[in-house]
Amino acid sequence: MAKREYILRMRDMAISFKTANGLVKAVRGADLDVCKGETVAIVGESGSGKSVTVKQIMGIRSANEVVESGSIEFTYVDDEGTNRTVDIMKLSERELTLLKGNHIAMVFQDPLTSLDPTMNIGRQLSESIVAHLHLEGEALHTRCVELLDLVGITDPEARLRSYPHQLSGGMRQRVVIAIALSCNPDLLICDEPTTALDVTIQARILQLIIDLQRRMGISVIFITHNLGVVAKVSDYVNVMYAGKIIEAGTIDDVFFDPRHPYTWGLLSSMPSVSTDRSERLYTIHGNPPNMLNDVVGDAFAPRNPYALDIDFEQEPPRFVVNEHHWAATWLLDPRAPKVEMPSQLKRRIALMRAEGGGEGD
Amino acid sequence: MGKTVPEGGFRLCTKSHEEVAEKEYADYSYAREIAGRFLANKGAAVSLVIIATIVVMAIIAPMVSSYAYDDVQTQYNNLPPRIPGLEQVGIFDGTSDGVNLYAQKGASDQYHLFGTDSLGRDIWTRVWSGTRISLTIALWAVIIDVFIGVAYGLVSGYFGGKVDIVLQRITEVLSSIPQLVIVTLMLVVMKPGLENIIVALIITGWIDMSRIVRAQVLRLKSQEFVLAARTLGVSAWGIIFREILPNTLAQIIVTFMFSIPNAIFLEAFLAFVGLGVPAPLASLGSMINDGYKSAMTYPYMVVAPVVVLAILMLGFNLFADGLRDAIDPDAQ
Amino acid sequence: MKKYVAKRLVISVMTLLIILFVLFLMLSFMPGSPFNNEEKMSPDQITQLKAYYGLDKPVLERFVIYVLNMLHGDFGVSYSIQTNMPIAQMIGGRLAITVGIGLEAGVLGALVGLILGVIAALRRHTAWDSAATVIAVLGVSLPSFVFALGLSYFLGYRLKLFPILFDTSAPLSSSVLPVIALSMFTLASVERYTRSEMVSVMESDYMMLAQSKGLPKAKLVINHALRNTLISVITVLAPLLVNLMTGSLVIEKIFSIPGLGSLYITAIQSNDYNVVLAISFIYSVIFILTMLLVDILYGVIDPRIRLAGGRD
Repeated sequence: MAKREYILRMRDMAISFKTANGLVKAVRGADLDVCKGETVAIVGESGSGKSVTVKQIMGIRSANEVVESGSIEFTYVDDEGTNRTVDIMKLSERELTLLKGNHIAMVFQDPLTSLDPTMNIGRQLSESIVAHLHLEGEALHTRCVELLDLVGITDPEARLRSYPHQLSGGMRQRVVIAIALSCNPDLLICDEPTTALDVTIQARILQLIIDLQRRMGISVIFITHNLGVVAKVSDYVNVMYAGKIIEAGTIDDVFFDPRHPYTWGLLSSMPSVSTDRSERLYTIHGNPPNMLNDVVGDAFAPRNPYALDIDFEQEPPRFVVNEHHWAATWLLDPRAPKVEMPSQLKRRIALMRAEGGGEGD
Repeated sequence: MGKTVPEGGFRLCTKSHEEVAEKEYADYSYAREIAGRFLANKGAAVSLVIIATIVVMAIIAPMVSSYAYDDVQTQYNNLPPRIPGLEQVGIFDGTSDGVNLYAQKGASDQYHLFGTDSLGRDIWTRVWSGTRISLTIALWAVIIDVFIGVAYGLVSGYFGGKVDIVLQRITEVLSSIPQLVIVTLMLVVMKPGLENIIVALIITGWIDMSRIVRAQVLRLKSQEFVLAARTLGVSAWGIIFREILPNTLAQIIVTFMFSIPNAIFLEAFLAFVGLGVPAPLASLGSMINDGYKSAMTYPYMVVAPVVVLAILMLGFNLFADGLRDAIDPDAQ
Repeated sequence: MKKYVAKRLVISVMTLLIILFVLFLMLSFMPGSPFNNEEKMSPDQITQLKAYYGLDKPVLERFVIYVLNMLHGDFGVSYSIQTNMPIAQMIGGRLAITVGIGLEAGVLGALVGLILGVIAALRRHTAWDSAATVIAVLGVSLPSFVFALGLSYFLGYRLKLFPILFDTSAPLSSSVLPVIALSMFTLASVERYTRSEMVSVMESDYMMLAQSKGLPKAKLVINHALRNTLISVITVLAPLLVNLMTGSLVIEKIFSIPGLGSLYITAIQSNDYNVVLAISFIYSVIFILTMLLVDILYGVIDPRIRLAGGRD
């Protein structure tokens, strides 16, 4: 594997929300690594904290959000050509504005509400370009047309004058992607970019992101709750549960050799075309924990069919599986009993390997 | 790793998963939640006190006062306020520019807490009986309007189609005429009087409520629980009363609370333009009408009703506001 | 867009005609007599007078005649306030004064309210916000009497800063107090609405995207937040207008302003049908016209309406 150059290292991110019912500890110590040219996925259920974690990179916070701890080291080449590394969490508002839209960009979940309804596409597209690249007039126009073309929008000249409500969901999302890419960012964050779209459009947008990423060499952080999407799009996977990352590795590691019972549950519950009809659909028993309460031990323990007594008392540390794969589960402790993944899952994985690694979509 | 952990700690947990507390999410009673939020809002809590105080005063004060609201005693007219206790300290002692008007008019044994008007009537008594009347008019008008408005909105919203179009056209035309004009004209035609004023207020006040109810009905109509009720064979009226109405109740109550100060103001306004309750009855508005001309020389004549009117409307508005925030807290 | 405007225009005119008819009908049922001293007149004299003024014709015919006359600017004559004085003349100057003060109050209130609302939204949970809330609640709840009397007593009588009665020879300084008093409700409503709209706009998804572009804060607020907020604030204009109208009557009476409102009050109290009818109608026209303008304004600002041809 080529030498991995880190462009983002997040350590120990902990975020809480002040609510009428108390302090909700949404993120309880998340670490994330992103290397140049790679796509890193974060998978988890709704409420696992994935969006909140990643929004810290853009400095997007709600009024009642409290940062308990965390650092984000971001490495980039600035406008003068020098290599710089900054801790995003320590930057001032003004300094962060220089990075946002310029070196780091984001694509949001719901294209129907992401665009300003009162401004035409051209204006919304040119905002970052004007602010960061200082283009204007003819040059600006050309760049805008180029961008729309890049994301596959037909008749770009006319589309520049359109308003968001005149475009379909899929087209709006393409515009959002175009806006994100407008200043050639080093890092692109995609927060469930296809969840709100029709299934047929989903595939196309995904493909667009993959192509663009390959072409432009951008690093991508991809958030999703859909494992199928993860398999298609990413190099690395982080599995998040109840505000912590509980397993991380390459897609081969996580899909073919998952170690955490939650990951087993996720993989098992993906319905697949090749599933034997007589098999029951697998579901993970129970509900995610209420983040108002402090977690003792492993947050997944109450729903874990393979829980050990210690899972209810002490939080499992990370156990290394190989140089790029780890999982935070006591099952990997040498003292733990030998527990294997459910046979259903084993069969599935064997099938996947046989089919050449691609999960059925 | 490397912590001392009891050997048994690595046993597979034998607890059944159902035992492990599913008591993750507490349940709150809806009503208690709303009451809690309401009372936590300082403005709202204060408003409750204000309204209660005024209502109590309006009921009791005229009854226990030694004067009647229509006690005309012209020899004791234009007396400034004189309050026992405070007069010792030098304020509200019945003097104006150093002259003790009470002594001058031979009324040294009388106490008029808010003074007397140009006909010698006790303002304190008149203010509170006026408040009674203002409140009575407002409440009658609003309560009846609620029924009309809710019924209109429910029918128009639920049955839709031609019914809705016709009903809405009527509302559109009616609401294009400024309420001011309709009410004024009605009173000009019908001649002012307690019942007529109430009727005039009723005629125009239901439109807002009907609009809000209709909007809510339209929103609810397309939701799935209504569809579910229909598939289960519930009749149209059953759906309206059992599914839609309860979900509209919150809006109805809030609008109801907001309509009260509106009605109070309208009545005061009508009195001010000469279409209020006929003398000798007093309402807050008619008192303001009587007193405003001499506001500079005898400010107390107009201050008392104005202040009471202001506090009354403030109280109701705060209450309605607090209620609305308690039921549907916006991102505050 | 043009279709939208044309449609609204036609509806407005039709509504006005219906209103006029309803008003006309209502007045023809008025008890009491339009003539002074009817008790002292003989039945013959009354019949003669009625014929003279055309009051003996059937309602429908009188209505048609009325409308036709109106189109020529002839609103008939006053019966009791100033007998035989053409109403159009009586109203002319007064209309200008009333509309003038109303506009000033509306614009002042809206502008100040907007500014206060924006500041309150951007500086949430600070002293600005609390102050703004207090102003909003007071301005919305307290009736115009309070402001009119309060201002004229304290600023006019006590501090003698401004004249307490309107004076045509010093229109500017003597309209200060009335305009401020009249503008309070508008100010408070606009401020409140602006604040809450702005807050919800600032938390919307498109604001989040705009923020992620790394734009300077000023640009964010002005280009994105303000525009979207304004669109919503326009919806509050209708009740404001109503308030301006009722308020103007109160203000005119308290400050002795020779406007439409005070004439209206006099006409009501003297049963002068024609004047009451004419002024009621004019109020309706003002109301509908303004609503029409607001609708058009809406269309201009909101591209969703401009391009699609109308809201549902």
